[in-house]
Amino acid sequence: MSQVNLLPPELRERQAIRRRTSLVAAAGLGVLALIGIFYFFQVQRLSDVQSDLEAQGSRNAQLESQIASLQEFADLQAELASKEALLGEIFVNEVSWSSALLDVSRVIPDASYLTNLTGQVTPTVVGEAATGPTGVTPDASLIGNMTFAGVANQTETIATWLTRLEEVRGWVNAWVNSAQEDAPFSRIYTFSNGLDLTQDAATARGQGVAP
Amino acid sequence: MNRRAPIIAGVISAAVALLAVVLLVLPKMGDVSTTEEELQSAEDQEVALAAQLAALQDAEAAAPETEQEIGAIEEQVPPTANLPSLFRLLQGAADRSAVDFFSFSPGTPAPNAAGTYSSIASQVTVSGGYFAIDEFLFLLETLPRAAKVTTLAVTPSGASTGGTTLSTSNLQLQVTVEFYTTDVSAGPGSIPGPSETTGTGA
Repeated sequence: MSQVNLLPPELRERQAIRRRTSLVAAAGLGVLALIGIFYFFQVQRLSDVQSDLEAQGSRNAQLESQIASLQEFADLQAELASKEALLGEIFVNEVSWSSALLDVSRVIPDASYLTNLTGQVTPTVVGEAATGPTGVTPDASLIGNMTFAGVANQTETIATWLTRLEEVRGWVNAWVNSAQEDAPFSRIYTFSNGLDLTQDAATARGQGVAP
Repeated sequence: MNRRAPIIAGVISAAVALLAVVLLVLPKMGDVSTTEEELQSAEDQEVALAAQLAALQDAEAAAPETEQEIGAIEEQVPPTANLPSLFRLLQGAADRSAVDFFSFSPGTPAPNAAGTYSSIASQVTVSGGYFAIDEFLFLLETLPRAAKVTTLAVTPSGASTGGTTLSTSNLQLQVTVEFYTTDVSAGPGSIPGPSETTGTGA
């Protein structure tokens, strides 16, 4: 059985408009409700995070308090570090002259002896440079020098002496300043020579290495 | 009813929703984001503080050793020039190495550029055999007090007669050796006692 709508078309259209308006309004309300729910969750989340933040702040304050109570040990460590730095500064470029003398006794040829031995460490003060045994301004990597005076039988002995000096670790630029025969055909020579010391000649603490 | 009523309702709904999002949701989301960042920062800070605390606890555990090390360094670089102790140390080294302790001339303490310590450049002369002198130098280098030999000269002991061939087993050693103190005002005419800034005396 078919239905017949006897309402006038204007009324039908009005009803349809009302229905559509209601639907749109309902949809709008739904969206607003969703926004409200989302807002509620955000409020909840903010509350949780703030609560976490307060707890975290409390933990941090406790840690800071503990750290403050142990500050004296940090000061102690800082004092040790500053004193170690002081020692490092003091011993910079230190040469073990006792080892140097032993090395001299090892390398000096039998047919010679020394009448004088000097050594010096280049001052570490800025702008105060020592002059090397050869009279030239030393290279920055050089930390000092040694000079020798002695007597040798034959020039070969002096040559051997120079060669052996260069074999010692940290001893470089071995040089003879003079070699003079004492008397004609005596083959006895009075000589003076020198060498430079590099960082390798410095002690461990002089090189900044912890002993 | 107006045919545009659904459109108007939609526009009003959209406007209200937009206003709600802009005025309520977005600021709240911003607050959440900011607070989360603050929380993250606080958590990072906790990690750093925990590490700092652990380091301090280690330092606390190591405090006796640290104090010993500081004490050892203060023995090497004392808070005063302490010349009497220096005399005894040098005489002890000379006696142990069997050299004759001939002379000792301590220089006036000179503070370094940074004002953290003073160095006392001293002239020491001893005489003895080659290896006795070597032993003396070794003892000088290993004194309880920090000492750095900056120059040395080894010559035959006694005056030369002008000849070049000296044959003597007795040698004279002249060294310039630097001793140190944390007293930056030491020596004659200075303020007595250790410097307050450097002589912590821990």
